[in-house]
Amino acid sequence: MDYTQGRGRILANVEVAPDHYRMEIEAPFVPERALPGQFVMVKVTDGLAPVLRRPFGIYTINEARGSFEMIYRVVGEGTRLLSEMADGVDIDVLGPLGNGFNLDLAGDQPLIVAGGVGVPPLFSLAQGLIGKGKKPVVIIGGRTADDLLSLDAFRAIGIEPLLATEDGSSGYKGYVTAIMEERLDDGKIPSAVYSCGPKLMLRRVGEIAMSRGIPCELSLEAIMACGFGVCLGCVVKTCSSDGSSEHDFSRVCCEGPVFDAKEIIWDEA
Amino acid sequence: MRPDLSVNLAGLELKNPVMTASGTFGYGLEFDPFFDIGQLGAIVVKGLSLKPKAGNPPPRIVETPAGMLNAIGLQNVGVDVFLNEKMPELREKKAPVIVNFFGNTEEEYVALAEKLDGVDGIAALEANISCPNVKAGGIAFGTDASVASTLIGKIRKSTSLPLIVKLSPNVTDIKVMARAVEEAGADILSMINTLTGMSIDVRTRRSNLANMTGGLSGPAIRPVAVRMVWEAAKSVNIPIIGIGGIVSAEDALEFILAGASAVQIGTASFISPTAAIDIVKGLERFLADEGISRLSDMIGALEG
Repeated sequence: MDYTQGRGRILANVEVAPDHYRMEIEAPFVPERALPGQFVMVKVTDGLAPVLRRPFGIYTINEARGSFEMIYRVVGEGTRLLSEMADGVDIDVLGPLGNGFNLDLAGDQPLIVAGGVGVPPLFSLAQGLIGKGKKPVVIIGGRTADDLLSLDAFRAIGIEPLLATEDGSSGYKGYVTAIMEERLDDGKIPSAVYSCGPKLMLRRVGEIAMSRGIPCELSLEAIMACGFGVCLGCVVKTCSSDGSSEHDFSRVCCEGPVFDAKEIIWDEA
Repeated sequence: MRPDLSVNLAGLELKNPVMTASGTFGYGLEFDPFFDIGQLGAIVVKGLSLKPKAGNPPPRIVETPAGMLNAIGLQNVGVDVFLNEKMPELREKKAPVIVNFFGNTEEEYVALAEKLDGVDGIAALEANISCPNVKAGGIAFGTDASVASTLIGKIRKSTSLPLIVKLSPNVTDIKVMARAVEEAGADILSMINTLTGMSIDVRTRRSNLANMTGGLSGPAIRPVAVRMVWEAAKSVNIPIIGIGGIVSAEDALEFILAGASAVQIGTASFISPTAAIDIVKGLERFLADEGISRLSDMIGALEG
């Protein structure tokens, strides 16, 4: 429990793809402590519409600038208001929250599988892994070429991501998991797998990794009210920790957002 | 001169009238990174049951205009884990601890009340007879005056602690419920719990909550809550704790003028973790600015 609520200042708020924005916020208490995979809760208005904060994964952690970046997609009223905020404006930030990825998971040939707005949080992970002398392979997917986020950022740190789009407008036509499986079938076995993205993708990535006995961490998304463990709104079904019940409900905000793939119990449908 | 914020609720002495609402403040310790929770009037912890409870499947919450619906389903660690693991640390925070509790049967309510009686650091009990999100217990006890009366009578006999009863707004006449619970031996009323509500995703044609319905909280319910506190205050002679969408000191004062002796801060703590303590400071400022020396002089001081 090492987080703060405070005022930050917007340094940049730029549209980087259709309906996708990159926002840099100066709020030194976040980069001072943030770990790859953690998130922040942002209040997009001081008023009541919308009333709750919005969770965003941390994209870059810039300790020297006292800032962090996040990339968000405009999906509703909250993110629409956020997209209209100007540079220099104050913004209420709570964070860094959640557990973050385990950078020491296993070996030095990790595989990162990312989809849609799940890509940005995995960029700081890739940076962290490289910082530990590891050589991550990165697969990025989206519906179309427009949805492939942060490619230049990965290239700037020496990673050429493998690409997949559902419509074939860039890279492989199909899902990231097809690239993942093909690599495994070719004997390119990663030491660990990290993933963030849509639920169905996460589930499949976890199943593939587990079926091959590869350690795998998944970063989950959930609707949440508080972000620090008290509303109990963001739970996900997980294996019982002590065997006393059929399952537990774990809070995505505290026990997660990063879970061992083995812990998650996926619902049918 | 610093205004006097202290209040006395049927012998329960509080340094200020601001408490946290059960289910919105965890077991208190989650707020440690934000402020000294010992500065609050009291801490009301997440509702406890005899055995741990897993709660409802997700999705459990959905945002609504100026509020939110929740259907958590009373997930909690159970009374034993609370007493062994949470209470020792909570005791050191120097805030009176009020334990909210619920059972599936009268016997479970009674067993809990007995177990919590005499525990060092517990200042009062709050019986939850108003949770809208569980099938057994909860609201089943809180919407029928004679059922509520019988239950509260039994709990009353099993504890020497001040007994707060948390009322449901999902009734036809709140005055009838308030009087029934008072006559059965409640020392204090707290009100209101959430209003039952529903929200539908028109594209998937599904409820936004796995539980179908949930409890509405937040500023959206405040006018309803103020009205109900006002009605109940005219009908009973025991103190009332006002709850419902309070996000500012002015909001809290609406309840106090309507007849509440104290307030609980709920959904606001999700939005701003320091909401409760900010409201304490806001009350102090308001009284100082208005030249009012004692907050207790404002209780029920509604004109007209």
